[in-house]
Amino acid sequence: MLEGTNVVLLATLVVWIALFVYLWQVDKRVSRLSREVETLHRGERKEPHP
Amino acid sequence: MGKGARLFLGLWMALLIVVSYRVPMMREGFMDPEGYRIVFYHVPAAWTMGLALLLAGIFGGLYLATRKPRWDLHAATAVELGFLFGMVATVTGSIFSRNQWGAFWNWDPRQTSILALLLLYLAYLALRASVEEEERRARFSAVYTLVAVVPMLFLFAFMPRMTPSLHPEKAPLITGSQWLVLLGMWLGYLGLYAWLHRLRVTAFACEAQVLSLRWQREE
Repeated sequence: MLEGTNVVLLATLVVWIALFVYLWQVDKRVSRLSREVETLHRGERKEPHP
Repeated sequence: MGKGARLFLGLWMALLIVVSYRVPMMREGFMDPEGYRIVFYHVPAAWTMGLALLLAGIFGGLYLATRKPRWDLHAATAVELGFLFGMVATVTGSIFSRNQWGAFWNWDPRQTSILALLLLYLAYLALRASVEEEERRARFSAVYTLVAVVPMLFLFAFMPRMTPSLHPEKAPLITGSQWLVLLGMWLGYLGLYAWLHRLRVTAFACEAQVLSLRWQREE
């Protein structure tokens, strides 16, 4: 195994972990936002804005 | 996608990344045999792009048949993600090209066809951005994704095989265990695609609900 290949392997793993953590955070935010918008939407339908 | 599935995807991809750099590669006929490992990232990206654009056509057809706005969101998401995976395939392909053929871009039939494919779907994104009225935008977009399946399949699967090319086509230079790594990696890409697709559709739906709330308030 060449030294350079190990470096590229590590770099690829770091990129994947960074992407994975970022996506996990985006998923959390989007899910929360979706729940909040849904709640607002339901409230608005029940009580129309004056 | 549930928490467990996401965790599994994270670990699966990490495992496949390690294996992709450990599996023995052929050394004959390559200027840079180690660099050929990029095939494990390039090919699944291209396959995922093809699948996403095919799905976009199917979702477009479903919209035209049912007129349900959710199919329009799915189609737009599939095109966006197909474009994204297409970019990954193009960039990794260019790196392969630089290592094996000496230049990032050779106007090889495969490189030319993927460029034409990306431009075809860039035009779709421009079309969506240019039509304001929701129903018209959905209708035009659906017709576009459905019709674009024909040139997409031609550019993706047939055109590069009809002309002499440097790109490995009929006899892929991978064998045995390398195929397993390639297919495993594609499964990982499909999982990633499914996750991104769900996220984007949820974001699209949020946007639509926020717009609807804004209109209600303005009324």
